[in-house]
Order: sequence, then structure tokens, then C-alpha cells
Amino acid sequence: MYTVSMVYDEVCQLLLERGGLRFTYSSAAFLRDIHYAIVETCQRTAIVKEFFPIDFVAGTADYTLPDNAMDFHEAFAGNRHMQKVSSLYEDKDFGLDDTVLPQEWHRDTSDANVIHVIPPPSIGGSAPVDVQPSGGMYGTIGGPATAQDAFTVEDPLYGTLNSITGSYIESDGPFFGTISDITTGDESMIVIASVRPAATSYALSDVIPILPDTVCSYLKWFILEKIWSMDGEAKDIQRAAYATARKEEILGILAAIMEEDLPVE
Amino acid sequence: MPLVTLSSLTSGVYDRLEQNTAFYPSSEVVGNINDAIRTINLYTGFLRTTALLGSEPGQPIYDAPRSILCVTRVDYNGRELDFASLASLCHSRPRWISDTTATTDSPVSTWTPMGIKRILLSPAPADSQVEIKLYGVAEPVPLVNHSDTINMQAEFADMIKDLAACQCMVKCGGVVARDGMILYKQFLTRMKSLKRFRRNVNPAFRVEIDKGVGV
Repeated sequence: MYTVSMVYDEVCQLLLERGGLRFTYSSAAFLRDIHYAIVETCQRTAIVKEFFPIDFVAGTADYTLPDNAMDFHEAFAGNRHMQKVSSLYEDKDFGLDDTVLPQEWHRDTSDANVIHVIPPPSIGGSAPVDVQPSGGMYGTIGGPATAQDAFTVEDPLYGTLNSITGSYIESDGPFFGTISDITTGDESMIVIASVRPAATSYALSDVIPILPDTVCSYLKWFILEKIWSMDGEAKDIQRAAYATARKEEILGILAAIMEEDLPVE
Repeated sequence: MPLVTLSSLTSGVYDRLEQNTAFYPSSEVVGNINDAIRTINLYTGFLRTTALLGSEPGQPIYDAPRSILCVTRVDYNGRELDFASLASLCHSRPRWISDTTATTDSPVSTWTPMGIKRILLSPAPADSQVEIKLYGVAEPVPLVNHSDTINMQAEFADMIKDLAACQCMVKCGGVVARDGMILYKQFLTRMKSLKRFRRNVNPAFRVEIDKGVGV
């Protein structure tokens, strides 16, 4: 487990400031910049992707994803893949009478984190039903009677969720157990998007989320590139070029892996 | 492949640092050796590992354990699965997200990476606890004690010593850092022929020797 303080110590070591940053750079600046480093890694390599389920609303074409979603890769409506198109070539012939669910999507004319679906769905998902048991949820949910129910659990969730087709479950606390079957309902959309960590600020004791240890060991070069590049006593063009090369090294390798150029064993 | 101990790697790094244990403490050198192992493993994938998972009915998504850095092959019930990218899976099987072996009446045949440590199986298995074997590049376990060993080709040991020494020297700045960067430049040249991911292109890196002259 790589922690923020491990990266901090590595930066201190390379700046000859053992015991903490004091002279050319501050701890507060470090904590700000490590967030940028993590986000840049996630954004440029898309090494972590997640499913984002969204309920359709009848007649609505634009849907907003959570802040931590970055690039949208694929989208599904009613369990069927939707084609990604350009807004220039979107099919204008769809009518609400022709189809119930969207067939295509794009985001090139949309705001940040907004997906535009074509045509807008003619039916909507049901309103979410919040279930918020106090003290967490333990045990098994064995197939709710009505699809499209939504569960929001603010406390820890333990146990097994069985066959919850069409439901949306969000656990704000730790989640223990197994989801044995998660499938969208026919009136829902699922978007696969690359993500960044939900956290936007870090403390030195925090574990670096999402990224594998090998990637975390490179984060110091993101920070040092900035320190050695900016005007001031620490400016060192040659070492800044070296830090840039090490940063681009990890981003290049990860991007190559994610381009699915996997070798044959 | 021969086993290389941390003590032999450490002494090799100190040879390149003129045995300067005062300016380059052992903890720092060991940290840089572990970084160098991670780097060369990223390029070459010389550390391999496998992990076993059990299938869950109707579940297409499986996460690799921490010991795997990236998945390179998947066997399902003893049979190697075909590889497909996420885009090609979506085009060839538009309903893969809900397809299972029961609904399609066909066996699990394809695996797809979704991110670096997550895979999708298509169609999703309908049976429980069928063996899913993941092959992949391993996340290196950091070397801590001098007797700790790592299994690697002999030529990688020299590259690890060079890269770790380079990282130590960079903290000095000036001529010493420049000498370290020349080691890194040589390392990049050697990696061109050894790199595992063909599309990986290193950015141009130039070490300035004198004004206007570089290597």
C-alpha cells in the first residue's frame, strides 16, 4: 500500500530536504500537487474504468455523470450497446414513436460530464426509493419485488445482494460482501467511463487510492518536474527534463497497456 | 533464472556511487533499487504471476488481486479465452452486459480488459465457482532485508544497478546528476529492444553535456 507520505519522503530525499519540505517548496503545495498528479495519471491513461448506472427520464436527452467520471468509453441502454456518434452526423430521423430507448450517444456538444442520447427515451425509470436502515445493512437482499428500486445505504453494508435486476444500489460507507448479479433494467442506461479518485484533497497519512504501487512510485516525478521547472532557487532545467522523461515514461507504458496491445504469452 | 539478493544489488549500486555511504544512505539506495525493479518490470514484464478466482453466476466483471499489475491472459475452466478489446466486444456482442452462458447457450469464450486490473468475461458465466485463472505481470514485492531475493535474468541486475544509481545521483544536481542521466539514457536505449508493449514510445530525452552539445 503506497501512502502519500511515502511519495513525500521520496520528494524530500531528491530535494536534499530530509525531515520535511522547508526551503523551496511547501507541504501544502505538495498535497495540492499530488492530487493533480493522480488525476493526470488517471486522465491520460484511463487505467481505471467504472460502470455508472443512470435512470432515464422520459423526453430527456442529457444526463450528468458524477464528478469523478472522466472519459466516457461505452454506453448501454436497456442492456444494449449504443453507438457513439458525432453530433455532426447524429441520426435526426429517430422519432419518439419509432423507438422507446436511445440508440446513439455523443458528448461533443455537451457540458462536462454530460452525455447526450439520441433519441431521448420515450419512457422513464421509476423514481428512486431510498432505503436507509440505521446501523448498516446486514444479510441478503433476495430480489426486490419491483425492478427500478434504488437503495442508498449510508452505513456499512454487509452481506450478499442476490439478483437485483434493475435496481440501483449506492453505499456511502464501506461495502462488504458480494453482489452476485447486477444488471440494468430496461429503462436504465449504463455508461463505462474512466475515473479518478473521488477524493480531491489528501493528508500525508492517506493511502493513494486506485493506482497500483508501481504507478505510485512514479508520482514523485510529477511533483519534481514542477519544482525543477518553476522559477526560483530550485529551478534546474536539466533535472526538470529528466523528471519529465520519467513522468512520460510511466504515462507512455500505461497508455500502451491500455491500448490493449497485449502480447501473446 | 538466477536468484539475485538485495545485498548484491546494493553493493553493485555503491560501486557506481564510489562507495559513498555517507551521502547515499542504505535506506535510500534500497528504495531506489525497488523503484528500478518496478520500472524494468513495467518495460519487460519479467515478473509473472497467476491468480485463481471463482466465477459468480451472471457476473461478467472480475477484479485481479493486488499481486497482479496487469492481466495478460485468462483461462476459464482450464481453457484459454480469446482476447477482445472493449470496443470490439461492444460491437460484436451488443448485449454482452446481460448475456450469460445460460441465455446465449454458448460457453465463456472471450475476456476483455476494463482498466488495468479489471476484466470482463463474455458471455458471463451462469455457473458458480468455476475456476478463472488469471495470468499477468506481477506487482513486485519490495526487497527489504539484505538476504531478500528476486528471480531475474542476469542482465536485468546490471540495469537495475544502473537505474538505481542514476536515481541516487539525480538528487545531487550539477555534473553528478548529469552523469546519472547518461546512465538513464543508456537504459532507455537498451529498453528499446526489450520492451514488452510495442506501442510504448519513450519521449525524447537529451542530456546537455556542454552548451549546444548533447547526448
